[in-house]
Amino acid sequence: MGAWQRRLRRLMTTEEIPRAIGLMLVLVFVIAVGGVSLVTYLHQRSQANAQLASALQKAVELLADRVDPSRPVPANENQLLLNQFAARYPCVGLRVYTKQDKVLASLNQSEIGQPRPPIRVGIPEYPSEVQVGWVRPIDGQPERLLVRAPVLHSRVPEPCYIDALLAPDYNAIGRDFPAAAMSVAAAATAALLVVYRRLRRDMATVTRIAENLVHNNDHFADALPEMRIVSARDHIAECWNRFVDLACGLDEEVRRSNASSELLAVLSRSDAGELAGAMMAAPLGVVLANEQGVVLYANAMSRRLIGWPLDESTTVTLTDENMLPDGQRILGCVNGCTAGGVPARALDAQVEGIDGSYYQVKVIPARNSQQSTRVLVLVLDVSQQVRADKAREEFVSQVTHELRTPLTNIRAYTETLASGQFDDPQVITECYNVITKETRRLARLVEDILSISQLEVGSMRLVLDNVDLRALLTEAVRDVRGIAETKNIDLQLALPAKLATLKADRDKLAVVVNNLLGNALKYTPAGGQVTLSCKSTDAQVQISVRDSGIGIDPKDHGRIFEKFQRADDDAVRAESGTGIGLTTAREIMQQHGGDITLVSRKGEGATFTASLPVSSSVQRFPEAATV
Amino acid sequence: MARILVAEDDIHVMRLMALWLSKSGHEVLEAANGMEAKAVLASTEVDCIVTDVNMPVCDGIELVRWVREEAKLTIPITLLSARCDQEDLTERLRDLDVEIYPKPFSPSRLLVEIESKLTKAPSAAGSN
Repeated sequence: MGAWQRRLRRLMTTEEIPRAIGLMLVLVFVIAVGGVSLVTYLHQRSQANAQLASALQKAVELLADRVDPSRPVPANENQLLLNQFAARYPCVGLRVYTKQDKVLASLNQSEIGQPRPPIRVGIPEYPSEVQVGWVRPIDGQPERLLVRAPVLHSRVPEPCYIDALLAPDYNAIGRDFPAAAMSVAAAATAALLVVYRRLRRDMATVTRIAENLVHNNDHFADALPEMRIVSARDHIAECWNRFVDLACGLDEEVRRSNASSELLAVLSRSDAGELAGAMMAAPLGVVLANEQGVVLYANAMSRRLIGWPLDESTTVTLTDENMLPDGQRILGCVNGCTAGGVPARALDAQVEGIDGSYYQVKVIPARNSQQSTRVLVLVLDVSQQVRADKAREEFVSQVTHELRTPLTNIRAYTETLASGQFDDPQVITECYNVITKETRRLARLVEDILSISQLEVGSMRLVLDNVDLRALLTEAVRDVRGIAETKNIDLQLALPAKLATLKADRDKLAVVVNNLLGNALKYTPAGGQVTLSCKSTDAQVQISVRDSGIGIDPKDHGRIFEKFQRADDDAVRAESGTGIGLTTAREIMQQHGGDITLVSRKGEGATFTASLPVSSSVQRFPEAATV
Repeated sequence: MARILVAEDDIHVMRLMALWLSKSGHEVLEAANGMEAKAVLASTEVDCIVTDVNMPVCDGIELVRWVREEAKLTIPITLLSARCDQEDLTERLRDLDVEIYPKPFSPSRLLVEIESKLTKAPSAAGSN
C-alpha cells in the first residue's frame, strides 16, 4: 500500500471524524462538481445555439434575397450561391422549393426538380418570414437547426422558400468543457481538503476537550490547570485555553474570597442554591477559613455578630482588628485556639460579650475533599438562653432560701415548744403564733411556685365565685399588718362606702393583693407609707397599692413582670425575692380579663393598680369552672 | 457565760436565738444586719458571733471578712445559711475559720455547737 493511500485511508478513517460524515462530504463534493459542470455545459451550448441561430437567420435572409427562382432549372448561379453558403456554414441540407414542394435548387443536385423530402420540425412549412427550429434527432443523428425563410423579392414568379439544415459545431464547447470541469473539480477538491483538514483538526481539539470534561467530571475545578491544550495551536484550542485560564482565575478568586461553592460542595450534592440561601439566612454564624485564617465563607449572621462588612466580596481574616467589641472577643477566642491557623482539636467555648451578651463559639478543624486544611467556626448568640439559665438558677436559689426561712422558724419554734424548757405562757403563745404565721407564709410560697409552674404549662384555671371585695381587702391588710408594724410603716386601707361584688377567683385575687402589698412593704423603708385603696364602677374595679418606697426605674417596668426577673437595683437585690410574685399577679389579672399597671419612678415610690371588669372572666374563659 | 452577738434580719430567728441563748445564761447582743453588727463590735467586746448570711445593707459574708481581715478578731463565728450553695460558701470562706450551719437548724444542737466553741476560746463576758 502506497504512502498516499495510507494517508488517504487515515484521512478517511480518522477516529475524530465519523465515517458517515466523510462519505457524505465526498458525495456532496461529487454532486457539486457534476452539477457545476453540467450547468456550465448546458449554458455554453445554449449560448452557442442562440448565436448560431441568429447568424444563420441573417445569412439565410441574405441568401433568400439573392436566389432567383425565375432562372431555368438547373441554374448555375443559384447553385453557386448555395455552394458559397454551404462553404461558409456547416450545412447538411440546403434547398430552394416552391409551394408545390418542387425543389428548384439544392446542394444535392440530384434533388433538383424532385419533390422536397419531408422534415419534421415545429415550424410552418410555408412561412411568411424567417423561422428557426430544432429538428428532432433521428436514428442517432446529431441535433440540427433548420432555418426556413420565404423568398420574397420581386423576381420571384411564384412563392418560393429556402430550407437550410445546419449542424451546429459544438467542438469548441467540447474542447472547453473538460478543462472547465477539471478546473472546477480541482478547485473544489482543494477547497474540500482545506475544509476537511481544518474540520479534522477542530474536531480533534473538540474531542480532546470533551474527553477532558468527561474524565474530570468529578473534580473539574481541581483538574482545570491540567486541562490546557498545549500542543494544538488552532483557534478552538486557543479559545479553550483562554477559558481554562479564566476559569482558573475565577476558581482562585472564589477559593480566596468566597468559598461558598466549596462549602456547598462539601455539605451538599443536592440543592446547593437552597442550602446557600438557608445558610446565609441562618440565625447561626458560620465561618469557614483556610489555614492562614483567610475567611473563605462567612454568612450574614457571622458578619453581623463579628462586625465584618456585609459585602461578601470584601476579604476578611480571623485576625482582623477592626471588629465590633463582641466580634473581637469572639475572634480572640477563636485565635486563642488556632493562633491564626488550624486548631489541633475542636473547641466549644462560651464568650461573654459586652452588655450581657453571650456567644457559644465552636471551632472545628476540618479538611475538605482536596485534603486542604480548613477551620469551621460556628457562633451562636446564646444571651437569651444564658440569661434564662441564670434567672432560673437564681430562682431556684431564691426559692430554696425563701422556703428555708419559714421552715427554719417552724422547726426551731416547734422544737422550742417540744423541749419543755420554756414554760412562760407568753413564750408558748408566741411560738404558736410564729408557727402558724410561718406555715401560712410557706403555704403562700408553695402556692406562688405552683402558680408559676401552672403558668409554665398554661394549665392555670380560675374557680369563679362571688367575691366580697371589702372582706378580701380587709383580710389582706390584716395579714401584713404585723410586718408593717415591725418595719414601722404606716399601712392604710382606703375603701369607698360602696363596693361591687365581683365574680372572680377569690384565692387567686387574694394572692394578687398579697403580692402587691408584700412588695410594697418589702421595698418601703421604715417610716414610709403604704396605702391599699379600691375604686369601683359598674364596669370595672381598680385595686391600687401605693407606697412611698424606693420606686422603680421606668426601664425596669417591663422586666419586673417577667418570670424570675427583678429590677436591676442594688436596693432590690438586698431584699429576698423570687421574681415570680408580679408575674403571677399579672397573669391572674389577665386571666380575669384585667391587667396590672404601674406608675413609678426611682426614689419616688410606686403605685400598682390591678384592674378587672366586674363581669368579664366568664366571657373570656368559658371553660373556667363556676362555683 | 458568754457575750454573743447575733446578726439576723429575721425577727423570729433573732427572737428564738435570744430565747435559747439567754436561757443558757448568755448575754445576747442583737444586730439587724452586718452594719449594725460592725457597730456593736466596734464598741463592745464579744465572745462569739452568730450571723445570718443574707441580710440587707451588709450581709454575713461581708461581716465575716471584716471581722477577720479588718477587725482582726479570732472569736468563733457561726454562719447560719439558708442558701443552696453551701459548698461554694464553704470554699469562699475556707481561710476565715467560720462554722457554717445550715438552715433549718435545731436550736438545741446549735446551742451545743456554740458552747463547744466557747469552751475553746477565752470568755470576754467572763473576764469582765
